[in-house]
Amino acid sequence: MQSLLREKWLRIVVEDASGTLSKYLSLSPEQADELFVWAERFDTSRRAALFFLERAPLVRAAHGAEGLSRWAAWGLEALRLSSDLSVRVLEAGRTVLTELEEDAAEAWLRTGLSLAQGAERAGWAYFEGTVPVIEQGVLPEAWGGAALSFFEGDWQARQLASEFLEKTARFAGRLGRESLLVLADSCARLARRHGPLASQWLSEGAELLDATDPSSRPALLLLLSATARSAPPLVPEMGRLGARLLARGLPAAPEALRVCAALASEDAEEALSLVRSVPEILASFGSTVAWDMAVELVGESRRLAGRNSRAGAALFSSLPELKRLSSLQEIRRWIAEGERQYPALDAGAVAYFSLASRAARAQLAAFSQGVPYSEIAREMRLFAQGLTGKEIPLSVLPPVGESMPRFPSTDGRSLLLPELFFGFGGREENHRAARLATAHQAGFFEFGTFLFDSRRLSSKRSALCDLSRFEPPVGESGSLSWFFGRFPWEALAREFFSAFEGYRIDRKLQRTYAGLSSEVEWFWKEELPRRPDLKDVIGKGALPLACELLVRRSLGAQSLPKELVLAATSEQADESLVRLELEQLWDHLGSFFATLDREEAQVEDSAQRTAELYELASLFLGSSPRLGALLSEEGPSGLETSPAAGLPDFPESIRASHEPAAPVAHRGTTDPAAAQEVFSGERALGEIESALAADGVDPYKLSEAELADLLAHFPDLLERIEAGEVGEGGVQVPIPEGAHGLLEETKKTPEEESALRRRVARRLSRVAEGEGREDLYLYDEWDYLLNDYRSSWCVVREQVAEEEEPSAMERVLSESAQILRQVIQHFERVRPELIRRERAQADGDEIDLSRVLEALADRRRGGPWPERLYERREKAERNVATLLLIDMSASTGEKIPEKGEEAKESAAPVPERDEIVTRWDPLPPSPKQVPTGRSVLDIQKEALLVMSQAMDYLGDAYAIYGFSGHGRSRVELVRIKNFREHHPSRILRRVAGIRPRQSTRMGAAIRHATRLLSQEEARYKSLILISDGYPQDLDYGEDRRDENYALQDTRAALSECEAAGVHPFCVTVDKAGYDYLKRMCPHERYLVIDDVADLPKVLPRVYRRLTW
Amino acid sequence: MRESAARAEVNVTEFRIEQEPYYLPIGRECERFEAAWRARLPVLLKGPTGCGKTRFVEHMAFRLLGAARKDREAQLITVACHEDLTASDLVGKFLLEGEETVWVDGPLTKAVGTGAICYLDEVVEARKDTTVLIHPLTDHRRILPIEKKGTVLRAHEDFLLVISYNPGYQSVFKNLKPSTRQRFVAIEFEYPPVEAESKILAHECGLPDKEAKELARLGEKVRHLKSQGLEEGVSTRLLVYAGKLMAQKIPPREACEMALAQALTDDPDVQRAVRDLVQAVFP
Repeated sequence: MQSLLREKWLRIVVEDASGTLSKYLSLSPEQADELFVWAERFDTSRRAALFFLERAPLVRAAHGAEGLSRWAAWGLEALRLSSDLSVRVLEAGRTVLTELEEDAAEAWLRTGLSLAQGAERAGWAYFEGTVPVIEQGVLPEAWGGAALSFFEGDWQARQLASEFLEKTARFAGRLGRESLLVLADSCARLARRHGPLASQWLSEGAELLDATDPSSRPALLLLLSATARSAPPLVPEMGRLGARLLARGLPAAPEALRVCAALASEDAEEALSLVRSVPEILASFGSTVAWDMAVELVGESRRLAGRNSRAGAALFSSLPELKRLSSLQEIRRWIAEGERQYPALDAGAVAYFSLASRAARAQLAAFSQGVPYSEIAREMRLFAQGLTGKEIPLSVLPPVGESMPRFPSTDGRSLLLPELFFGFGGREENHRAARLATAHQAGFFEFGTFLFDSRRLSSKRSALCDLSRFEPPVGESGSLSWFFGRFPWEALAREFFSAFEGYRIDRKLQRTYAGLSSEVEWFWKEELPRRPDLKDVIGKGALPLACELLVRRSLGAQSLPKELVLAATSEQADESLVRLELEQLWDHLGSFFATLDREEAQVEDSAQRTAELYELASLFLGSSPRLGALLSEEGPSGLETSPAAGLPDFPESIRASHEPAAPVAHRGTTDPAAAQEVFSGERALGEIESALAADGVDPYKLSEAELADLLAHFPDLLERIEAGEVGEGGVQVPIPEGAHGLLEETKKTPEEESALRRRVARRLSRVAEGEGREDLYLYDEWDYLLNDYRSSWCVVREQVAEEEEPSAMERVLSESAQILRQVIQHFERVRPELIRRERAQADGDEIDLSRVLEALADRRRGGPWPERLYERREKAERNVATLLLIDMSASTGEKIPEKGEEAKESAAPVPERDEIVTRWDPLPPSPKQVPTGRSVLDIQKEALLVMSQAMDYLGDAYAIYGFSGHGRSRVELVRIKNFREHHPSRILRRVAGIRPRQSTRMGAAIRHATRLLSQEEARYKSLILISDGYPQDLDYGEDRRDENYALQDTRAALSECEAAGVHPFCVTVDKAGYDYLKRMCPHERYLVIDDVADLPKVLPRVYRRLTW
Repeated sequence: MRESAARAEVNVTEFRIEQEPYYLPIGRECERFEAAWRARLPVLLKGPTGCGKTRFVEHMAFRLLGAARKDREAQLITVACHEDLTASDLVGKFLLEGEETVWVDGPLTKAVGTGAICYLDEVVEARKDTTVLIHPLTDHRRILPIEKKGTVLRAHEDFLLVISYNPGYQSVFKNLKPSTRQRFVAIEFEYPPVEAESKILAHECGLPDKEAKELARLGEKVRHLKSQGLEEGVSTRLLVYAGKLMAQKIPPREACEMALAQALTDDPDVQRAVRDLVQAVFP
């Protein structure tokens, strides 16, 4: 060994005469010996010893004996693990000696050695990276320490430690200690489950973090570490989304990520979807003006999230809606109120902050100025009817997913208004907004949008466009659908048309109604500043810009928006040219509206403008999307059109990148073509119906011959029936009885025949789709867990019942006729109660004896002779309105088990026992047994028939509805008879058509029934609910097994009913009914019928009891 | 003194019409009425409230009787019927005066005797026995039995019975019995169309044509609400009221608030809808 070292020393001397030799030469022999002594201790590794000798003189020179001994000791300690490690320690150690304090240096070594013990390569990577890391001003211990977390896992994670150190050494300084820790930790956790993913994430994560602005990085780190702890596999996706979000530099984004981070520690999946929605939520704050608001509100969300992550996340998700509904100040108050109401921030708070509970909505409404649909529904319906003279139903727009649509529209049959009008200032302004929206939507009816006929268009002349191509072929009606179908790019034509027609309607309103004239003006002015920021639009391309300018023109904007000129010129070189072109474009767009101002402007004029603008736009934008090319030098009048060619198309690049202009608040999102279809369908049917009704023909009856005829015309009808779409037998298909004849008659003109055919087919398909006449209503639902209502939770769809030949229920008819006789007899016997005795009358049938005696006495005392000495018997005017609500759930279709053999068809009189009903004792055993094969529903039908005739007999107002449904978005209320209908035969057919459906969401059904009853003017109103089991539905409560939710909601609905002045009464044929009914209503408000077959007899008694 | 005692329970209007009341014929109702009068056929006027039935009768009474009758008798005796109106209120009754009883003619008896047109307004409101009372007056007999006096009064040759009836809001209990109904020839009234109504408004209220026209259009719109919360559409009478307020320089929206929105209904939704229509029509 000694010889070896000497040899080496000689070699140094010889080979490095100038450098190393001189260093050794400058040493005293003692010093040199000292080095050799140290070197000798490296005797287990030649490589290490040589390396030591080579570097030692320099170290000695720079750091003295003490430094040298520390350095050597490091090397030796590392040597115990391996020579390779030792060499790396010695190499890095020189820098460490220079740069680090003694403690830090020790920590450096310990960290490295721990790493090396975990995985040798990690140690290498650590010591190799030490110098660059130190150069970046980072303590290597901090950097390496991060990698230690890899050793908490299995071998897969260990492997990653070195990779981590290698990859991060170069930019450890930029990442910083926190990032390193989080990156390592997330990688390590990920590695435990998904090795390959972890490796990938390592490099990706490092880059993402590196690319993220250090000021916003902590938020991302928070998110990542929370996710790593709860769901490591989601880390990469979370990182990507988070980094992308931060890269956009939105001011509130870091705070938003902190909200997500809080949620991620509890539920990473949910947090991920929240992260996904962050851009949208923040985008709802729109232009830069609202950023302060965004920052503040997101900050509030984060503050809340700090206490309860779900509540914070809920608030954050609600921000777009809150922002739309209220001002910052109002929202602040609303948040404070929520915290005050739910100090514990429990589930109630989550519901509150996600705007699901009624308290939340009510509170917000109290603070904000919006006008809810429910408040104005009737007023607006009447208003629309006043304007148009037509009964146009009004409906609230059903929610789309979780969000509430905010633009009004019409489907050609009814007007659809958003749940809330807001954002126009105070309540007064919002109300005006609702009124104008209603007038505008009704205007489509009033001013003939749906009377569009392409034939009238094709006979017009245009300098810009060949309109003859809009001549519909023979047999085609030139509807709006057909018209739009002429355009290769239909959506663009529709967009243009909406702007023109919207403008035309507005102008018509102004012309017709002096009072609306100023309203329209006012809204145009309100609407313009709300349009999207032109700076944003300009970046989307010339066509979106042109469309936006078109909408602004249609809102009466007179001058080219200044900001546009500024924005355009800042990016364009040739300022004057752009300015000129924009102004030309602006003027041209304006000129398009001129003809629509005329008093006689029709829908076809809007269509003409659409075609012309389309042609123009395709000419100038079709070739080049550059704004500058929009208008040629000679302008549009110099166009030459070739009639032979069809309408031009646009290049895919333009089509794909186009974004339609945002809708205008009061004009909404009506699809005129679809609405026209419905409108003309309704009109045609209405004509047929009234023509047939005038002839005394029931328009909904279909004979077999007609069915055969229909089948001939609609070959797919059978398939539909077979597929169960149309229903068994197909007899209820509402094809007018006269349709057959009409088809025959109209065969002369194929055009008309096809039109009629299509209408009938449309009606058929609507029946097939189960979307007959449906009116939508929103109702709240009581959530006992929240101790509050869930706001607008259920969508009730009111439909007209299907009809069926009553002959199918012959048995029901005969049974009910029998019972009816008894019931009427019964009513007759108790009839005296219907007579009221009026005393002290001026005239009357009898003398009021007591008054006369009194009078005689008075007279004798010299008093005046009173006049009112008679009494009169008057028929008491019954003033009762009753709604029968029938359970149509699937279970009502079950057959009742047969009872014994001794079933007798007996007409034994019903025992005269009113006290039965009074005391709710079960009826004595009925002598008549339930016949086989009858279902609960059959008996319910029987009861309905008895009841309806009994009530007719009494002359009482009544309505019959069935209910069923499937989930909260589909609670079906089936109208069998409303309070005004009086067509016994039709009602009979509808009763016959009742079929078991799906589930039983009672609460919503009761609320709708209550609403219907409260529109009646009777002095006494009652609701009789007939069911066969407890309320249930698939999402009736979050936990499906929790019956309590449904019961509690039903109970709440019943008490709302009482509060509305309606007397509810529940009859159930479910023997288990005692258990749950007593939890839903007081005992005098329900009755359990043990034997289903008694229902038809008991019901009239219940009724008598309730209403006498 | 006696008369006022008798009239206390009956709302009777009885006066001599000195000037021809304004009436704008919408169809051939004047000719028809005149023909009925000449044939001495009792007339039933059907139509919604405030559409001009009473004005029409006054107009016709003047046209038919005004010139002919030089004496001071009234041409028209109008009785507003109500549910406590009894036969004796119409025919007459004995009143006590000191220890004597004195007979006082009721409005019907008076009209029958003097040969006036007797107009029973809203006849279905009256009690059933009163409608039976008019039966002998309305057929070829043209007599009025006065039960309490035990006499029969033969109608004056100019006498004509006219009743009015509003099919709109009567309940089923208050329908005219067929036996009563079939004693009359009927003239049906509707609210006038926009053009005619604007003329009426211009005349009655002294409004400029433009405002009269807008008011009439408002009337049309509000009538669209009939049976949808409004039992009847707005009457011409109410429009006239609104117009008179406007003529007094009350701004149109305010005038309509007073005369229409508030007067028509107490249902807040309907009121608001009416208000919306008013604000749509009047700036």
